[in-house]
Amino acid sequence: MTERAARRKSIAEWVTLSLSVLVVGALIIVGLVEESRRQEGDATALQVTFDTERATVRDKSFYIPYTVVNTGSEAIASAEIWFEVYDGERVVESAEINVQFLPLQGKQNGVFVTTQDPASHSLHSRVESLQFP
Amino acid sequence: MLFESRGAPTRPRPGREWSDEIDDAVRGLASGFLIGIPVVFTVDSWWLGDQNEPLDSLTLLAFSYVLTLAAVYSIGFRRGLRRGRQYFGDAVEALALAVLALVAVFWALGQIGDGQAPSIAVGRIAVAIAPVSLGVAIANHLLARDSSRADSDAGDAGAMRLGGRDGWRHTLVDLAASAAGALFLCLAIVPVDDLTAIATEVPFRNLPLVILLSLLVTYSVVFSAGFAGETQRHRTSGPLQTPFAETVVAYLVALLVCLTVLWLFGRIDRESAVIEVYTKTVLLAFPASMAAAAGRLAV
Repeated sequence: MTERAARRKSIAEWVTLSLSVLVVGALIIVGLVEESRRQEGDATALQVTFDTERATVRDKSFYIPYTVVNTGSEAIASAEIWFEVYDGERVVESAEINVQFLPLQGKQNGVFVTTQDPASHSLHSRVESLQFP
Repeated sequence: MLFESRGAPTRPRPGREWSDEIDDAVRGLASGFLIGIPVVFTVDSWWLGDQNEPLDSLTLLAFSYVLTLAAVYSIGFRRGLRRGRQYFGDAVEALALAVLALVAVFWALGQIGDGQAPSIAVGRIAVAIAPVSLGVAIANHLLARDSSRADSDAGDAGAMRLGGRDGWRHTLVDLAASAAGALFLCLAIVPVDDLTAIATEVPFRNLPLVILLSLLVTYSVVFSAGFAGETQRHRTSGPLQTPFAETVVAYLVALLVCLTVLWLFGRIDRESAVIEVYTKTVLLAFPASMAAAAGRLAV
């Protein structure tokens, strides 16, 4: 066999190489897209939502699912968030939660337990402090 | 200059066929799993990946490519003659195989594609890719192709004692090697107690997938990847020596070893719920079964 023959790629080799370039290229493109989205976003932004429709009652306590999403452009090492339950204008119950390791667009699900009925009270959240990696 | 990888056949072939490509890819993947899985199986590397910014992840990817290129040049995962620009292509292929391996592992563990953002997937893959792609790139060196310690030509005492490698003795040696491999890996993972955090992170519904992936990878490592003594393994007679039976029994041995080590280190006890014992054992058996497969290849 000549060196030239040894150098020539078969169709199988070309297909394998093309698929490999596609896989690695896809990873790079996703990384670049995510980087551009990160640069366009706010530096720090946390979004907290309560799912009161899925709340359950057990032993006179209401278990309300909540979600914390990091919508900012930086990963968060930890966040302290106050949950407050309002009866009209008055805060009737509050609690502090701590969220660890929220990556970019990272999501943390949890359940907030309160003795107040979410159907007759309103729930609010307030970010108290953030720490970055 | 022509360069021939160690363990490559000495007779050059005119062109590479599909079977060569698939064989090399499976061998590369198996080697990548063997080397990379212990690193992937640390929850700290996942959290590190979560905190990575996309640009940092891409830098890590570029760094991994350079390392992989060096490993492909000096060792490689392909059989046959390689030269010049082919090394650059081989390094891309090794990186792509590592990406696919990591996607499979993280997907089975419910750590990507289960509601997580794309940046998390990129970060986790970037942090874990270097050991896996290096594993792929050194497949030719990890264990020499189509030779085994059990060959009497090897001349070592173990090979001489095994003689023809028939019957129960062969089966017992394989089982002992599986247990030794699994034990080796368990002793590296269990003391640091990453397993509790991993068990918390992995959804329970994903555990059957983890079991299937463990069986698939260990089968590929021992019977499909062209590693040491594969041909002889297919020929060997004896109880539990069919590929399917050997894979399942070796997995069960790995499970038993995991259970024992978890018990010895106090990670499970009589008070532990069955579901906790099941979760920790199945998760630990994922890397342990691969180490068990490596153990069987070593005898």
